[in-house]
Amino acid sequence: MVDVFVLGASILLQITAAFLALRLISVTGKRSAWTLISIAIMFMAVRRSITLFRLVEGSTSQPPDLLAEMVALLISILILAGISRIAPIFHSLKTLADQLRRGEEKLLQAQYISRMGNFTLELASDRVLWSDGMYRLLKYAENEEMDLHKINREVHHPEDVDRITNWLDEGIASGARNLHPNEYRLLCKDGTPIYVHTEAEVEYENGEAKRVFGTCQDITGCKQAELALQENEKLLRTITDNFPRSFVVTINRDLTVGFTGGEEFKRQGLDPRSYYGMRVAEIIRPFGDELLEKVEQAFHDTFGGTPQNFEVRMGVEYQSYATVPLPDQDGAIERILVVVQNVTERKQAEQETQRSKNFIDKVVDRYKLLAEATFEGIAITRKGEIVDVNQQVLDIFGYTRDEFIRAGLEKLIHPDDLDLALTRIMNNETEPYEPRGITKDGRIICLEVRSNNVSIDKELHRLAVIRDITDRKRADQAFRDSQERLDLAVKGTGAGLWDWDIQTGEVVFSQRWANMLGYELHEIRPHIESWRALIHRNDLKNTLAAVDAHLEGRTEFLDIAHRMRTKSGSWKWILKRGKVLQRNEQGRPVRAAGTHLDITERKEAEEALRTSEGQLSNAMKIARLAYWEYDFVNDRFIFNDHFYSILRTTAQQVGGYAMAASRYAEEFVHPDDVIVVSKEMQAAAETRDPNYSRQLEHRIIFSDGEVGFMAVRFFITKDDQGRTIKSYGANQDITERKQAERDRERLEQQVRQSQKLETIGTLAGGIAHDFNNILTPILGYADMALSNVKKDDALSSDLQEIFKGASRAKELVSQILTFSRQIERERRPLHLPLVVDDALKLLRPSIPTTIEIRKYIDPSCKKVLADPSQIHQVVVNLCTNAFQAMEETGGVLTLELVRVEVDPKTAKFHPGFKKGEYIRLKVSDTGPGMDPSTMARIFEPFFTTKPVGKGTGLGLSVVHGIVRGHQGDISVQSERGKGSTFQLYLPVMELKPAENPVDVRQVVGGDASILVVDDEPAVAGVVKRMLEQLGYAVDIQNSSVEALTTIREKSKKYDLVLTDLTMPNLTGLELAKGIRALRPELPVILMTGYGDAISDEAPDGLNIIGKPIVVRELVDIIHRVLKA
Amino acid sequence: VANGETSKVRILVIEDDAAIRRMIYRILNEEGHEVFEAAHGKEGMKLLAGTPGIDVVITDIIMPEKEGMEVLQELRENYPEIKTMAISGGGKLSAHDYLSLAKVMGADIVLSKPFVRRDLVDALHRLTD
Repeated sequence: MVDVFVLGASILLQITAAFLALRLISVTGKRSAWTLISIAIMFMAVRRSITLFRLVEGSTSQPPDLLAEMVALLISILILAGISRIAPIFHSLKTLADQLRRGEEKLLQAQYISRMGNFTLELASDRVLWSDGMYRLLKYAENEEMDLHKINREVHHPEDVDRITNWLDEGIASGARNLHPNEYRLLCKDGTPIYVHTEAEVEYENGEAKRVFGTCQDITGCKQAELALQENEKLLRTITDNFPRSFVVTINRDLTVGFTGGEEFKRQGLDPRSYYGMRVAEIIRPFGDELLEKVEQAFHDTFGGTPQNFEVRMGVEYQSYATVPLPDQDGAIERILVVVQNVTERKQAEQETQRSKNFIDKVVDRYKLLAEATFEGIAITRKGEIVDVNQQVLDIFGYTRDEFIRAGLEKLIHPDDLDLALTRIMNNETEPYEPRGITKDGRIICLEVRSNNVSIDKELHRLAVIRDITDRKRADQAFRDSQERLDLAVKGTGAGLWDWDIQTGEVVFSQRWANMLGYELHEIRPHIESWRALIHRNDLKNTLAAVDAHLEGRTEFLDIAHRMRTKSGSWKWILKRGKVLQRNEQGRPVRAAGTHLDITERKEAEEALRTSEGQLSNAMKIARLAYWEYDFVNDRFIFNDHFYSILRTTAQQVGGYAMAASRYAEEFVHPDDVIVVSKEMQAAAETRDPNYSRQLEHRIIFSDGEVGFMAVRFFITKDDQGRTIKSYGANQDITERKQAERDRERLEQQVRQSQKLETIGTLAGGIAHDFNNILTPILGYADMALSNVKKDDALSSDLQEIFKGASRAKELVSQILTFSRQIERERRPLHLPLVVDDALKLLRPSIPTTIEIRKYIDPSCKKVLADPSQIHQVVVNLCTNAFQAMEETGGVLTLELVRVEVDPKTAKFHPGFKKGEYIRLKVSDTGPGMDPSTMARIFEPFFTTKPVGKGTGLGLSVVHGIVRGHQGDISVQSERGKGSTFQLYLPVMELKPAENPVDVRQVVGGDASILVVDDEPAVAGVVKRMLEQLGYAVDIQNSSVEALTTIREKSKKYDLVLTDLTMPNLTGLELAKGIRALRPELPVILMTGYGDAISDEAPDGLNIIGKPIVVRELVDIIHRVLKA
Repeated sequence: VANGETSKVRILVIEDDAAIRRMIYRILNEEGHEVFEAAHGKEGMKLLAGTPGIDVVITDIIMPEKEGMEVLQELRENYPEIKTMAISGGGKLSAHDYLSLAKVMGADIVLSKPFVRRDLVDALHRLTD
């Protein structure tokens, strides 16, 4: 019986083993091996079956050897055990292989997407193998062979070659397996540089480095993302900074610190940034290796995907660690978030409280994880029923323990999340989830639940760690909201961001910050200097002052606009706003952040507005235009500075900007125009037309008493009842325009007058010529006839009448010719005071005693070049007219003779005037004056106001002709009842100034010999006497022809010839030419009364002196001529 | 009034106004001078060329054909020994004093129109003294 049992067991075991062996094929492959093994085992089973069959049938006489069968059974057991031990190993191997394969695929895919490549460097041969990704990354053809030298030459950026070589050499020399990650530049085939992040591993064989495996990732394009990330981290920090009593850090996979933040840094006076990049080991080790080990283990576990919660004791303090994996987009966990909270206070409080020895506590004792997490809420369930919870959970929900347990999950979990929770529990899923809970008072809270199966008292329970994350959620949400809002705001306003570490000067600028100025972010060095360097020179001082003021706490916000230079060199207005976010214990600013806003358009608009306001104001100033308002209700003008400046006063002088109409009229409106102005105002008040507007001009009295003209234009406004309540308008000071208009009118009139006289003169001149020809025979024959008749002959008296009449006609024509300037007599330099005195002497006997003569003569009057008899005639004529005007009434005749300087403005009114010195003769009377129509015709020939027979009407026209003929001008001012004033101007004779004015006394003793030639012996005699007094030897010749003969004969006798210009036979000019032909070196001086007229025709270098001769001038010219 | 003491002078009168020309002729003739007449400058110069021994030329300034000024200039150039007298009734359209100009141009003496016998005789005396 035992036999049968042993055999049966063997057979069963072997068959099982054979099947298991076959199943292993799917796990390990190796089909043939496992099939053979399986067949072999099956054969063994067949062998055992035959033995068993035989034994049962009793067909064998020989009973089986029990011992041998027992051994076979043992072998079967061993085979089965062996196979079943192998199976799980292979199974896990297969899983691993699958993962590996998937990983490789993913890696390839990732490499392709993420622009990665890897390489293998064979150290013995320096050969380098590149992956496809590498070729693609660097744009090389895929079959191109690579070695280290070629790569150093072509691929490694020249500036980075040394660094890369050192990195490799030192890494290998150190014997380390993993080289420190490195970042350097590579050049693509087309020369484009790229940044790569390289991680490499060295493979050793027998302690000798054989090859290097490496992965390069193109990070060129990542820069922006990286910086954007940094920016997000800044914002994150702002939030995490407020995590109470916490350090918030992220830890990278290599256990270095990434992001740092949290209130605890601040509390402990630590700079969170200083931890960046530090290894966890460096930070923790000072607190003991045990802690370090624990922390590192927890971090590793977190990287494995499991959040960790634990509490450690550091000295007298307790810290709780909560870690959460931070999967990236692909789900890979490269970073974890660690919140280290100082829980000392709570811990102490907990320790003081005796914990009730409930079911949880037992669990706590047994499960380390729970022990570490006792500050978390813990709930135990079994088959979906709540078994027990700790106090924390009760605190979260607000129930007592009994209430809570009785309530059941249905009441505690939000209906929408209940299914999720139950599913998790039923399926024993361990993934953390976040259902919503409902508290006793009905609040909905957010929970984080991590649960796992535990066996308590040999029963399967579910242990859930529950945390109220409502606040965190809300904070998250708030953060997201605020970030979104911020993003939106930033995008909407186009603001750039900056975050300034004041102590280091580093500034994190946002992409937008850089773009605003035309830069890419990487072009801006993240330092405060970058900002400063771009500020407009003229804004720098103010801006820095504003920044300092804020940093020193003098302003609540930093808010300053300044210009910044863009990349293209243009300027933008930037509104910089910000605030110090953090100060250290000394109150010094540590960190400030804020925005940049491009306000160029606004500024330009402001500027344009300011400019246009300024322009308007200037335009008004230039146009002498001012705005005003009049309030009819309160009888008040409202003026302004512009208005007052036009009135040549100020608000201060007037006493404010408001003024009653009566006062304005009294002080500023010309008395003659007050009525006009007040009528206008009355009309404006009474009009029914709401669009009433008026334009008028009136005279004004400026505050300095001058009279001017004002152009007024105004509109009105009416109230509901149609009453005029206000008028508003603009006044323009048009005094200048009016003045110019009047000047122009005067000028036009003068020109017209002058042209008219000119025409009449020309006409008269032409008539005179023919008239003289006609008169000549009449007068001539009458004369001849007279001499042929006896005096008592009746014919004689008739002829006498003809002769007298013709003579009068002759005289008249002569006058006309003078007026028309057809006769010019010899002119000479004339001292006008003498002429005036002469004329007065002549006139005085005929002037009635009722007329007082006042005379003012400036003795310094210079000479004018004029005909003495004509000027005499002018003075007599003017004076005669003057006293005739006062003959009956008596009055004052004023004569004034002064030098005046004619400026361009005056010259404008006198055609033909040149800028320069003139003599003005003014003759005025206090007679009845003239009306404008008389005045307009006063210089016309044959125009007279005198009774017929008293005056020819030619007097003033002759005066006009003479004065104009002397390049002068005459004008008249007169008003009815106010007398008349004639003013005549004559140009001062231009004398070429002597280059070296010589004092008369200095030339005394001159011994030159001079020949004086003048046809008038008297003149010659006078000149001779003058020269002899000066010490010269002088001969006289009265004939120019003889003078020329004398010079020819006695060529050497004379040093100088002084000759008259107008002489019979041979003129002075001809004499001078003759002398020049005979003796070119002998100087000649011409004495002339013709002045400029002759000098035009004079040959070059001719010396001319005007008559009458003045000693001083004579001395000067002789001296100059002889010296030359 | 004839002046018998005056020596006989050969005079050419150039004057376009026949009445004046006749008057001058009569006065000078009565004074005992030998007088030749021409109605304009061109005729005068022609007559001068064909008549030897002319002592004095009396010429009007404004004339057709040849202006008195031209006559004066030619005389100064070709007959410097002949004395000249210019007579004029004043300018036409120019403001310049023709007689003054005539003097500058070489007229030995000038006489303005209208004149009477005495004026002409005195002027001739001054010229021939």
